[in-house]
Amino acid sequence: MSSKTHYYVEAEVVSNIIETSRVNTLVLKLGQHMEVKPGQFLMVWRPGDGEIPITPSLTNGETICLTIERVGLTSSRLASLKAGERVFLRGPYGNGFNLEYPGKYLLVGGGTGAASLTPAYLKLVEKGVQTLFLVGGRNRDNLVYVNKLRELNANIRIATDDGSVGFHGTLPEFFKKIIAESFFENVLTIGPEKMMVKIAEECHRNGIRCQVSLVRIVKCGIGFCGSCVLDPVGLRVCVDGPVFNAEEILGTDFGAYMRDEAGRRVEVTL
Amino acid sequence: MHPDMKVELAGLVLRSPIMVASGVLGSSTGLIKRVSENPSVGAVVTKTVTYNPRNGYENPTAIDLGFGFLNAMGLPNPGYLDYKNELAELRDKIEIPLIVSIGPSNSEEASEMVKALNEVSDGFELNLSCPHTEKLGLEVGSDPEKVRRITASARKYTSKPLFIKVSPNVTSVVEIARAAVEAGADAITAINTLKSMAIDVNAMKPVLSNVYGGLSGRAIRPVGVRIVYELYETLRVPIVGCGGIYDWRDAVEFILAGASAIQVGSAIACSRSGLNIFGEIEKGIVEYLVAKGLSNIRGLVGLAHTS
Ligand SMILES: Cc1cc2nc3c(=O)[nH]c(=O)nc-3n(C[C@H](O)[C@H](O)[C@H](O)COP(=O)(O)OP(=O)(O)OC[C@H]3O[C@@H](n4cnc5c(N)ncnc54)[C@H](O)[C@@H]3O)c2cc1C
Ligand SMILES: Cc1cc2nc3c(=O)[nH]c(=O)nc-3n(C[C@H](O)[C@H](O)[C@H](O)COP(=O)(O)O)c2cc1C
Ligand code: FES
Repeated sequence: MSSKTHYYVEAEVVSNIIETSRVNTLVLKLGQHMEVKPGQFLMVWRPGDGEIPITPSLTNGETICLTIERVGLTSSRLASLKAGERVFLRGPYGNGFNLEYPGKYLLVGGGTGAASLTPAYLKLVEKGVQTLFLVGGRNRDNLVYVNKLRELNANIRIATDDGSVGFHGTLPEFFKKIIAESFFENVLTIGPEKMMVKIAEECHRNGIRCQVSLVRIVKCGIGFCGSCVLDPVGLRVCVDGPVFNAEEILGTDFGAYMRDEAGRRVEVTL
Repeated sequence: MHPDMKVELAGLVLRSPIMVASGVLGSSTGLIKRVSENPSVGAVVTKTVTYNPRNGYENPTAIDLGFGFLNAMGLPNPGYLDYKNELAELRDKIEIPLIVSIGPSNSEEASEMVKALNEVSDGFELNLSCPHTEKLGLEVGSDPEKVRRITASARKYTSKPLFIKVSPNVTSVVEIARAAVEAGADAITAINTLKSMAIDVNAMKPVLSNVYGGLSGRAIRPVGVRIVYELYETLRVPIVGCGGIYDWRDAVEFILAGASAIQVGSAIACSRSGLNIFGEIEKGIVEYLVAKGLSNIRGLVGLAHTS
């Protein structure tokens, strides 16, 4: 925590890139150097519009990209910002991915997950590790970050639910097919929780080490409000996660239940 | 010889004087269970539950100031009826006293909640001190008459230990605490957070969506120690010290001021191994007792007062 500032870092929107009808990427210039490890997240604040957790989709210390899906008020406002407008960032928070495990890596991104996995991909490339990137969406208009990943020379394969491009089927179905063809020692996944739990179970059956990035309602981001807890194990997504070894959380509320803003236990729907 | 760390608090026997403060772990029963398994934790206080469910305030709700923390969570909780079911399940699974914190806004709510939750708790802490929620907490807890009425209503429906948690945001904490004790409180917990705020200099706006919040952590310890010291001078009931306790030295300071037990809140946010903090504090207290030649923790309570 010592390297962190005790105030928000100001950042200016350089450009706003449209990914899909629901998703935009903000390119931000930071007012101050910020080191974010792959898989860590930031709390992104706009006075009056709220503050939400986002895992950056690119970072280099001075510039940072946030790929944001419009799901509610705060995310919609942020995703609509124009060049010159400002946001305020605190963090980085959470543990991030462990990229030290040996072997090949299969990255599986659903929705904005492909974007959030990109810093991990770049780190693996830098380390000379072999990777394959699976990106999924409902149809060809729902794919996020594919152009960026092509630009970065990523080895990508696509799955769409309607078959409009790539494999015809869901990401978990495609995943099964891919790992039957070639073995990967490691899987990193970010996406809808129902999707991630299927990937995690498949990894469990096949002896693959799987790291998942969980979403819960993050309020404080620093481990003391209990809003983001995964029960019944009592793990806090904001400090014990957001990345978990799937083995550690299979059989918990992962994929089944979360807590709403009042702390009521509710079913995971996505 | 290992000094005896056991304390007796308003009829509860705690294996250690270190408790978990209300709210810092939210409503998660999983997290409460995880913490209760730590042998250095003597009791847990739950998140404050209110009569109706509350979502809490919009983010930003909390920030780390370095010298302390500022929060206006807005008492998010599932409401007492929903939470009762979870507590019932939890209570069978933990081995230490479970103190349920309630935040009634009037006497009727206090009676209803205590009646309903009595069978799933080992004691109650009445939160009459949250500095940032309308019609709850401090709005109730700064008026000695209201404190008297609400405490009496809760007392009527439970014979279990009843703690009243007081706020530092009043002119006379002693007056409020005395009203609570006269109405039947068994012990006083001091202190809750200090009303405060922060403004971001680049955004030129208050940081918390609620504007005002409560200051906790390192910065408030001297305020907590002062209030515990004052209460010990005037009251005959046990005091639970809270506010900015990060290590054994902080804990011992509160005990010397008059606290029979202490609560840890914000400090658990300070490191990734945050939950180990309880073990570290207990170890430090034990070493301190040994160094001072004391055979038990009870001999330390209020020692700073004797001339
Ligand atoms: C560590 C972490 C990293 C994240 N990274 C990204 C990212 O890179 N890109 C991105 O687009 N999103 C990301 N999210 C999710 C994002 O934070 C939420 O979508 C956002 O908080 C919604 O806020 P809102 O005010 O727009 O919606 P709200 O108005 O709060 O909610 C609108 C609806 O969305 C649903 N919702 C709200 N919050 C969540 C949530 N946390 N999880 C699931 N459903 C929710 C609710 O059901 C609600 O009905 C991340 C979340 C976490 C915890
Ligand atoms: C995030 C957070 C939530 C809190 N929620 C509650 C609560 O629900 N009820 C309550 O009585 N006190 C609550 N408090 C106050 C603490 O229990 C404690 O009195 C205060 O923080 C001072 O102790 P500390 O400095 O060790 O944190 C909360 C404090 C924090 C930081
Ligand atoms: S968001 Fe507060 S503990 Fe994780």
